[in-house]
Amino acid sequence: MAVFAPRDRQSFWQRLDALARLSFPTLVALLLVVLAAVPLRLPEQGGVMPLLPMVAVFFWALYRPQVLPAPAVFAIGLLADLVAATPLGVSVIVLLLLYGTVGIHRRRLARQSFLVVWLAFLLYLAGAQLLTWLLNTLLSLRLFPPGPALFQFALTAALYPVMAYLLALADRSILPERPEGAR
Amino acid sequence: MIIRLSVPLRQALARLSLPILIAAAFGLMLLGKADTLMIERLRMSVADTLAPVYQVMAEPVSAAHRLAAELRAMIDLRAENARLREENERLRSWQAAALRLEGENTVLRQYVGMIPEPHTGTIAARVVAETGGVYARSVLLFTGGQPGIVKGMVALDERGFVGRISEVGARSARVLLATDINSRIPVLLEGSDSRAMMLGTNGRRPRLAHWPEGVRPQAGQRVVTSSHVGAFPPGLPVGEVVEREGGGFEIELFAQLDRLEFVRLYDFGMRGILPPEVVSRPEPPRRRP
Repeated sequence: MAVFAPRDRQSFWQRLDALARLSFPTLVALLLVVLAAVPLRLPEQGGVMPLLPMVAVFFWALYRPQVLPAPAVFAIGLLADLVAATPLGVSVIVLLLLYGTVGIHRRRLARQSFLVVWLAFLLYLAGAQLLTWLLNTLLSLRLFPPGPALFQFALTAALYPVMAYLLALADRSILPERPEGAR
Repeated sequence: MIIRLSVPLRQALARLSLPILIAAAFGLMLLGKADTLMIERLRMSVADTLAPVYQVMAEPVSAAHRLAAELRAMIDLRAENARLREENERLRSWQAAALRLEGENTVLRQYVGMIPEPHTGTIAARVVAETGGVYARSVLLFTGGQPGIVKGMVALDERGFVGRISEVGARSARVLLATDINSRIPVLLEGSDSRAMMLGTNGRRPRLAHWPEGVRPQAGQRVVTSSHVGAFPPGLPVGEVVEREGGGFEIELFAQLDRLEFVRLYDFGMRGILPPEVVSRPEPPRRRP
């Protein structure tokens, strides 16, 4: 009977609440993967969408990797490959490597000013896109035109400040306080 | 409480799991190369799950486009009217020509005892998602489980050739666009009657290749589908030849691939160059209009 005491029930709801908050970054990234395929029907866009899931993975890998564990990144990449009907595994590898390399530099990078972080993101993005291009070329043995990839780079780079602002807002309002020593 | 306790554990796990997960991703890549059928099923089940979601999300985009079109129409109503009147005149003379040719055709057909072409049904489907982008060009259709949609069907918008059905799910289907790097469509250069291939490049315009020696494609020449490998009905409008700077020819498609909203699917009963597993699959009962 003691199991159903109010204090225990409260702790159950607290646990549920914490779980919901902790899965928030993953859910946002998955949603961005799904959104990337909504046809905007803009002329000259050619179906090229900004790499918003990559922005989300970069953001949380940098500022709060404990709420975006590597298996979640795996799932995000897998969904991206399945939705886009591109060779399976490519987005998974690219996102995991992005996550891993950001994790190596995060202690230094997270303390920098916004501009420096933005520039660093551009480097990571270029690296990620280069790797994507390489893997796709190896898997299909075809040369892909560089135009759409460059367009995608510019689009993603330009949207980064807006995305980072929105993600920071969401991060602050939904996620728990930073645990000590996380930075 | 839970969080603070699990953080060091989680971080340790993350450090361990990353290399394992990367290895798993490489395994996934090999699997994708080896078992394409299984991956295709997996992709289509994801597409089936997401198709209704996309159906809903496409609605506001469509509404915005309709509003923009409405506003544009309101602004140049007079010019539009004049243009339509002029176009109507032109179409009337085309109609007369078409009627005359139809009559002539019927007589000639009776003359040579030609077997009439089989009836071709069409199914309309809505484009709900644009997938790929940089490395693949395809769109997802919400078919809502309409029967009769099979791999290899030809998709057209109101102007011309869009692509072919490459994957079919329970309520969605994928169309490989003519611009996709894997798309290879046999075409005919109208006027010279020479066959050629239209190869997708993932760029905006597919490339024209393999035209016979001694024939030079002309800029502005119309390109239509060719039936020479038995995969396509002949004579569907595809596009116009344009010369590429730096040599070679490209095809400016009639279809507006960047603003597809609905496509018509044609079943011409032709299943050329398709993997064997499609052929062995039993045909679902076809609905008669």
